Amino acid sequence: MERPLTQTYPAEAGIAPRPKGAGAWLHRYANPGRFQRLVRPILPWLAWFAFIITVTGLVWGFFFSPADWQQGIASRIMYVHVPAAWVAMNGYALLAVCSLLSIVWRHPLADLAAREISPIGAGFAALCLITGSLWGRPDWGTYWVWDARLTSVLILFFLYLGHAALIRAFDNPQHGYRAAAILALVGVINLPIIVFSVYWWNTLHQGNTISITGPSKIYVSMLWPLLIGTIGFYAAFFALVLARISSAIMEQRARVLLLASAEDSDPAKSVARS
Amino acid sequence: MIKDLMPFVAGSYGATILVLGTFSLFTLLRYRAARRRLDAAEAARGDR
Repeated sequence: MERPLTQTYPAEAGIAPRPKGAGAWLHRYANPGRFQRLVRPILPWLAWFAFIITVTGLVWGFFFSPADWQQGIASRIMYVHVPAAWVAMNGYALLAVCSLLSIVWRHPLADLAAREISPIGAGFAALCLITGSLWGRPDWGTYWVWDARLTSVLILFFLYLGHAALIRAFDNPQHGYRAAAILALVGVINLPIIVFSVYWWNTLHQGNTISITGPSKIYVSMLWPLLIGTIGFYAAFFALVLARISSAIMEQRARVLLLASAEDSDPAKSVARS
Repeated sequence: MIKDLMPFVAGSYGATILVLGTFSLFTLLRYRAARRRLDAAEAARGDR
């Protein structure tokens, strides 16, 4: 039986312990009605912001960024490949957090978020693989090589696809949420493998150029369009995920209302009730 | 050199526009349909 989103979730209903600390903050936003009230006014602004920043990043990267002295204009693929890779990886980390919330607190919004993140994450992972292949051909002489970095990102793509399929595979959605959450949590092991693959193994893929902790090995005229593109991709990811969660809540609410209307208009049930 | 590399660069940007555009379009259509369906369901409940 699907848990209706209009219903309070176990902690709110008092049949599960109320979370404390960070959990209490999340608990406040477990209510889909509150989520909708919060997201509805933000969503159009976020969507337009994502659109403008992404287009700016793409135009800057394609037309105005300098060509690399070794790679030539092939380096411009970086402005779409790197943000796609970052969003795909961090999107998976978010999916894992949602899965943890789903397993520990049965947070209904976490279930929905996980359900809606995986197809979008798969899209970004696919984009990373496609643009990586197109960059590999002129630079390495091949579209694909079974190198540790490329293979681990391919596994990330399959994890996303597996999650998206598994969460929709059961008649009882609760079973799907649980099975997919376990898969997502097991798959987290792939994230450090992706990050450190270029150091652990001898790979064709280059090491990290940008570092948050240390100095970056990228010239500032290339860093700016990359940063703009990254902000745009993240904004697009969040706008898409929030819009899809909001749609799912509305679809479920409409289904509940239609079922209630059908029950009210059923003469047999009306007689039984009276 | 630029001529040789341009198909790869253009292909990458084209794939980006295709993937992001497709997701955006389908998400927008789904959002609008869900909103319409919910409005209709709420109106039907209100009429009763």
